Amino acid sequence: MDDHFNVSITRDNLVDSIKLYNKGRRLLKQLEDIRCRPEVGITGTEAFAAAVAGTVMPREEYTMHLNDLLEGLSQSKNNVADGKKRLMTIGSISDDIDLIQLIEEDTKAVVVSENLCFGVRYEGNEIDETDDPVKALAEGYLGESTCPRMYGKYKDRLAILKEAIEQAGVEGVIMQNIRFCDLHGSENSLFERDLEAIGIPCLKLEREYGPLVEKGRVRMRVDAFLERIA
Amino acid sequence: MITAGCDVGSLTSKAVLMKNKRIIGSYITKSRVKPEVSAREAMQGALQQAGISEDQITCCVGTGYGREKIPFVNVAVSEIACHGKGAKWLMPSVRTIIDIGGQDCKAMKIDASGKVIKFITNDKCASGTGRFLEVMARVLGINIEDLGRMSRKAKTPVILASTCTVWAQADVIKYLNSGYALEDIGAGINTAMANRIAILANTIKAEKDISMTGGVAKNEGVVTTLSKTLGQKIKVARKADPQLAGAIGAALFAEEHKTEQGGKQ
Amino acid sequence: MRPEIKEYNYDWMLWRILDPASRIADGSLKELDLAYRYVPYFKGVLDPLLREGLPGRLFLKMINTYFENLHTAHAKGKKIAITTFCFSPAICYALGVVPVTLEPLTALGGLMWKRGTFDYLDYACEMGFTETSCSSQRGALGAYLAGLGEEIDFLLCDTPGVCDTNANAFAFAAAFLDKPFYQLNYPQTLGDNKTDNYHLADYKEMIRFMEDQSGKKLDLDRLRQVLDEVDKQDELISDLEDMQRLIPNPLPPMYNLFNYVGRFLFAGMPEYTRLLKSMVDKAGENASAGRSGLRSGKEKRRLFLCYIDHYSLNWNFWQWLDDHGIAHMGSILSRGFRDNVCYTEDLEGSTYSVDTSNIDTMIDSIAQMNARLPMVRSIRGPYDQPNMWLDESLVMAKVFQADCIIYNGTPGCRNTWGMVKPFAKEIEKHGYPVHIMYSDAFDDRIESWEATRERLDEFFKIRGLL
Repeated sequence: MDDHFNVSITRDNLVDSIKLYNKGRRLLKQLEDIRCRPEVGITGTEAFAAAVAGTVMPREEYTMHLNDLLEGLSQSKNNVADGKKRLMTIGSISDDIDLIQLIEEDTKAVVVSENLCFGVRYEGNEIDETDDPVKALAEGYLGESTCPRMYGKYKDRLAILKEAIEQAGVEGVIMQNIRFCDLHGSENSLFERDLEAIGIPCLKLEREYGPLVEKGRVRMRVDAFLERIA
Repeated sequence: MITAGCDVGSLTSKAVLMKNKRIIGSYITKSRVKPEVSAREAMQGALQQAGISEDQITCCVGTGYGREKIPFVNVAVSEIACHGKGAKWLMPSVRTIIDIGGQDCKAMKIDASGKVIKFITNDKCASGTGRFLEVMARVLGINIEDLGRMSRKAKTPVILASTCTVWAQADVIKYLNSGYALEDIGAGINTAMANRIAILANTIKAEKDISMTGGVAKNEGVVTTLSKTLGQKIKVARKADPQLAGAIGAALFAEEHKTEQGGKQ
Repeated sequence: MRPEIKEYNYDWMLWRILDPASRIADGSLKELDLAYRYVPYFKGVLDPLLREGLPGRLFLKMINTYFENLHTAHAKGKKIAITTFCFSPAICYALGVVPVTLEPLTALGGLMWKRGTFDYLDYACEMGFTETSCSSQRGALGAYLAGLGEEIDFLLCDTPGVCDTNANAFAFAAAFLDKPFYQLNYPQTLGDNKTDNYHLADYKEMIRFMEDQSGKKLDLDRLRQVLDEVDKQDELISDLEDMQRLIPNPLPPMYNLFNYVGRFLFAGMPEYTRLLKSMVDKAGENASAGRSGLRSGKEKRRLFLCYIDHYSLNWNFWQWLDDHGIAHMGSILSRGFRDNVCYTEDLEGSTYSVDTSNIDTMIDSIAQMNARLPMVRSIRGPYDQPNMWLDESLVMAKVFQADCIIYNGTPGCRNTWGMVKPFAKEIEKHGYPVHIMYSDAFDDRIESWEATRERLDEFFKIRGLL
């Protein structure tokens, strides 16, 4: 990278960057915690938009916006979760904010938690700020990834889901995967089996990656699912 | 109290009028481009059959893909829920419903009260839907109603490429040109269809009584082969046309809705 | 799954076909004729095999022994492990573990039954596999997921990072069956020091895992015995590959299947060595007489399969090649890559050696061998990286003097479909006509044999090959 981009990446650069990104990660974690409460001041759509924004914005600016958002939320008495079913979205890559909007559209449900490739999981856990930065990054990226591509960790991932479901009071899980992502596609089936077994209703949804094109189809399934858990 | 159910599908639109949980009028029509127009046509037909006027209807529930666009509908309910309810009315003992429409297929499990507890749909592609049979029947040059019977007379059903309707069509043409018996090809078509549906049914672990609704329920070849593949008997409703299941469920939901409202007042 | 399929285990059913088949091979022609009357459908499978003579008979006996071992494994106190075709079973035999290599077992079902492994393929999807997943594992695996096979003790896989679709099948199965699972990870280059060391370290870890699971320690003498057998087999495979270069090619097309099943189910076992010896002898006879291995005796074209074969019912694909005078130059599956083969001059670092001096050299040998099995060898990195898929295919085409190249795989093979079109374009630039088949090697429902055959006819005609 040094050679190709004609830059000089120093140890200090890396440590500073890690610290900056960790700040954002902590803020997103706070956001996640806020959404776990019985009174939720932010819709799933807005929270997801905030998470996706982090994948395209310059980090300093993003951290600033996150700060503002959280400050605003701490002062607001708004509760968007009142009388609605609390849902969780999990699965493969989705930067499709329209999808979450579709789920929350008819105001019967609110998305209070997620475990998607973008979003809280993408940000993942904090990277060690004290260790050698390259080692810390390698360990963080390879060791903490919760993508089903990391084989052999199904039980760990199931435990993470169960914990999140409990903390956020989730009443239904929407499991989406993009077509051809066999990893999420098949693991979602295992999750469905194990979560339904403990009484958590699940909906599996396979979709195309890209802008939301199958509104009618998705709408029909989400409606039926909401009727089921009503 | 007279209630109405209107099910606007992509190929056909259905309307059902019910009083005291009995059908007093029903109508099936080919769907038009605009769902409002199809719904209107179906409703007119049903009203005529029942010999009543629209203002005698207390409540109307709409379902199907076009349900939000129908102006005279009071409440919209998903077709999954409507199909579940309607299938239960058609056959009280039913627990698993397999609905094969013109352009999609769904399988659902209901509990004792008719509430849907599990469902799975496949509406991404033509194979496994009524469209598949339509296309194949046309290639064979027969009426789709005659396709079902062919399984009975077949000696060795052919194997078809079953994951893509276009390729299956090419296969059928080849078999025809190679002089295979028409019955064997027809049976192969029914079997390919049944196997696609079996995957859906098995995924939700179909339990008895299993009932089929939708137009394809009238194809005895598919029903018999599917029964054999699942190892369970599939019952076809006799109380009314199984194609009306969605509209019947909608009408029943309308009654529940009105009763609830009445109770609240 | 049709209820009747649930009556018996898949692997048991295969055995019950192959056991009598292997014995009838030794009977008289009269007995054979009589038997054929009772198996009108299986005749299409058995006859072509028996027409191959001794190799065909030994092939049947070899897989029969394989199934015998599988079904008596637990009774003998041995463990059973599910593995993949990119994983050499030699280490299993060295540790007294019986390997269940999914892909050849799926292929066998598709070859011998009219409905192939359709029920099991679908069952896997019903249990949660996506429709788009690879069929090669899914066929046999469906049976094991349904409990319609021998009970599995653990799973071994070396495709993470090389073929995630394959690896995912194993990860899913391990979670579904709740069995222990070991994954070997391979870096994206081959033949450099760092990679070799990585292979060795990872492989040693795996041996520890296997010892834990099987409750047996790796026995030095047994390992040496297995590697000596592998050594003999490699020698014979190298002979066969040398002969395959001759014009006309003295090897019958079906030899490629014998090699596929033998290597991935039975590497390191004497039955496979016997089979290879008979193949070398027969091919040798053809070679001395300047005779083609094709039944017609006339070789019109030479075909190299850059990926895998087509395991359609009744050996349809190999029969078609044979009928049309097309000699089979092997596939990515049949190449040995031992350091004594004739084609690795331009593929530096692609070979392995076998050194049985001490425990360290032995484990190194087997680890390096494992790293050179099909996909993990040349599809571990981008297709146009040095010595990867493109380079390897071009070398093979040149060394074996192929006239054309065919790609066949499965629709779920993200691994190759992700790059097959640019790959084919590159190959065409080098003057080889390339045909991309859209069929599924393990599932005849994707593209029926009749449609596949038509496209093959079309390709050979339009490109002026026949």
